[in-house]
Amino acid sequence: MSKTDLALLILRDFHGEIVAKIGECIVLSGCATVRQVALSTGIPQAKVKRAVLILVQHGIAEFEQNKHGFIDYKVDVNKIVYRLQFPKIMRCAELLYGDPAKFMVEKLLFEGRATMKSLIKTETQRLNECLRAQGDSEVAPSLLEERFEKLVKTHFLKRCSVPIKDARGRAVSLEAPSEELVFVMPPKESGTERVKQEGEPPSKKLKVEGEVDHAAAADSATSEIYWEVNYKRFLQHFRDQVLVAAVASRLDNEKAGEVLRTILRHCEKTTNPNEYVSQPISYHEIQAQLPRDLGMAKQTLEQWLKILTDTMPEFVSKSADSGGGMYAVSIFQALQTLCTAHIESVVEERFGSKSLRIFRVILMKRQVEQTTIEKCVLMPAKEAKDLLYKMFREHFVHVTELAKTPDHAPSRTFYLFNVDLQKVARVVLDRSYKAMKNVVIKQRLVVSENKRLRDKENRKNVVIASLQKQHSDLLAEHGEGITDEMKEEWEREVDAIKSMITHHEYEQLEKASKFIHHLEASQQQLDSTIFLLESYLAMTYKPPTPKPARDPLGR
Amino acid sequence: MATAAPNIKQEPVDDGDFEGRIVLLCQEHTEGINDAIIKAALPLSDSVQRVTALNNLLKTGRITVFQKKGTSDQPVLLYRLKDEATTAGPVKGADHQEKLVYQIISEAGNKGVWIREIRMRSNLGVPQLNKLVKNMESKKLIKAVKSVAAAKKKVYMLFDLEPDSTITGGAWYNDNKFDHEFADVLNQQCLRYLESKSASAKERHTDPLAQQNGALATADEVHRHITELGISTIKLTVNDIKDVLNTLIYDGKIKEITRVAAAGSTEEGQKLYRLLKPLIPTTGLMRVPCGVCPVIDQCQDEGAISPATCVYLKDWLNGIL
Repeated sequence: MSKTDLALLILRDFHGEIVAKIGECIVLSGCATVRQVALSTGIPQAKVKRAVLILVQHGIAEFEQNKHGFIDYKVDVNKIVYRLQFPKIMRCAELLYGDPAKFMVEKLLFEGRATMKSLIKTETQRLNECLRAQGDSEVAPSLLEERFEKLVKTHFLKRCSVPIKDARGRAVSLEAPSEELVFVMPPKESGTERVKQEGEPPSKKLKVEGEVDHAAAADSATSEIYWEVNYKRFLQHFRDQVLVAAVASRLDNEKAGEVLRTILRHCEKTTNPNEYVSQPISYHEIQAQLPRDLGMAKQTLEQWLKILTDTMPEFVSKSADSGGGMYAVSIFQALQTLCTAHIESVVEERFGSKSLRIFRVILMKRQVEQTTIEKCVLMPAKEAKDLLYKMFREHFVHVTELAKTPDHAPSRTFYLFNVDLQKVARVVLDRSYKAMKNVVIKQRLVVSENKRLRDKENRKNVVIASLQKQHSDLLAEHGEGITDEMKEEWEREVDAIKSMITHHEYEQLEKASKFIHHLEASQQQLDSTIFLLESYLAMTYKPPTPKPARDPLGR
Repeated sequence: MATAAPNIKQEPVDDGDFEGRIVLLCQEHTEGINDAIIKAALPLSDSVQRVTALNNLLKTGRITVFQKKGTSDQPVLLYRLKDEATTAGPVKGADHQEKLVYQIISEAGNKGVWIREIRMRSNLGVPQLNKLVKNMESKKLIKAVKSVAAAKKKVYMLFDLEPDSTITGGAWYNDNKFDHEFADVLNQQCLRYLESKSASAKERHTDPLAQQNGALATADEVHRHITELGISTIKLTVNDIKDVLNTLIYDGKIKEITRVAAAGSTEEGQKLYRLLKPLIPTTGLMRVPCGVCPVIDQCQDEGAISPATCVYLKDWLNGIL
């Protein structure tokens, strides 16, 4: 629930009140047609259409024709919440493929989708403007093109879903591009063999033709392929980073992390991200792919692998002896371990380290009676009981009743304490979303409280800047003609404007900016908790496997 | 009881005589007598009389019965006089009820027995039993020990017995109260020892495997270290230290590794302990006040408790200045 609240808050921040209201309506009703939304929100249909168009453009909403022939719109809350990851995604693109990649990813993130051609055109311009401002040399569009290709090849960008049209030419649903095509660059020469992709939802066409696509439309009749950011790939990348950081922290050595990073880098090519255990990689391959500048000797690598498999079997395991030893990463187990660590951290901070001891006793022994807990934790029975019940009240531990008799009389029942990791993860996740929402609200409050002052400061800065420019222009023009008196006069003018903001106001501004900075940092930290719990819970969800077709003869 | 006696109605015979003679027989044969010996010594008795006599003796607690493997693999029942020391000795001159209570208490050994249990087993009334127990306590035959499991529960045991560790709580209890400061200090000292061991291993060795192995310590080593520190006034056993190390494992600060004994050796696998570094820094949720907020479940965007009016958030932000 908190997740939805947060999502709507973000939606409001990004797209304004009307879109947020319509988003809320669709989220709360599961799925709705434009007409239904218009009726229940009281917003005119034309506006609803435009709002839905924005949602579809950003990949937040999907649509499908229902059995009555109307188009049902659905909103994916996750896609909205991903917006909190934007800074992280941009930073990641920058680290991997430099500024050009960052610019392109940024554009795609904030615009939802774009064709390669328009993207490269606008971003080359924007990048060059930046470079000029910094006094660096400009780049050619071919560089961006190359980076774009790299991003697609490494699956960080993907093709958008293609609308399917009915007989009357209306788009009725979206179809994901086929697996062979989704990460494939179109052939270089523009021509007839390009995948034809004309259909955007009817309401969308307007915008597309109006803004993004006019260049493409001008030079050829064929529409281009639209690209979007592949969030899942970025999330996978972040997940791998988290695993590496965890290993480095536990073994207290960066090199151990690098070994795991090498394995994971290989795995991202060979393994489906949803797989529980990665494809094994041989020792020789690890050795060959290990970054050279690490300077790790053969023997040291062997030792690290042994330590990893011995002390952290939930992360790396040895699956076979061939090829100098085959190593695989147990992604699910590692995530589970990390999720447990996060929950333990929550328990420790919220209930104290004594409670953590009790919590871990239950985790380790799985099903345990109260008396056993009291014996294990070396603390007064009364205190242990108190702490245990506190955790029970907040749903961090659970109880299984095992009645000896059918009447379930308490005196004849075993009460076994246990921890349901998934349930607790959900509790913590919901709290994290709530905390995130609170921090976002608080940040916004701080901003709005200091809006007047900030505006004032901005105005002051503008005035001072223009004055100084004026003065320097005068100085350049008249040169020697400017006397010291005049210079003093100028300085007095500037000082007068500077004193528009009092000392007290200045302090207030300082304070506000510190607050905002702190709140932003907290958002990033909260995001790490949320990200891990979400990744773990996403893996625990198994889509029902389709039943194998029964052999009619029963063979 | 003793043998499956045929259920034939017989004239009641004065069997006091038989009882006395059986006791005499027992005194002669200290290793115990069986039915055959009794039969030979009392040729006039029939089986029913013997059984009644034996049962009476058993009931009054003067003899005991136990099984022994006979010649033809058939278990033979043996009767022997009960140990004077445990039965009659201290309660000589006492009445039948006192003997019974004494017996119940002595059977419980150093684990002690609860007064209610004595009452149930002896079938005595509350005032009567209380009087008896008080009487015996003043004679220093038995003593009352407070159990740590429940503050008000007293258990009785023989006076000269040392109470079991489940009753006193072992080294961790002082005056029947859990000495958690002591336990905490030991917990910290054990951790410090393993920390220093890990740090020195890191200094001494360069290759990772040696660093890892150098940080290992056995419970014996930790025990020796703690004893040398001399922080404990009472003598701690290795098992006590193992308890402490276990709490450290539960704290998630150390790890236990079982080293498998070399093939062919008779030693058991040895348990080794090593410091465990945290997997993650404090999780993000707990770095904002909402993580520890007691009223987070009542927090709404609008209402008495809301992020806009939250005092915790405000104090937290002012705290960073």
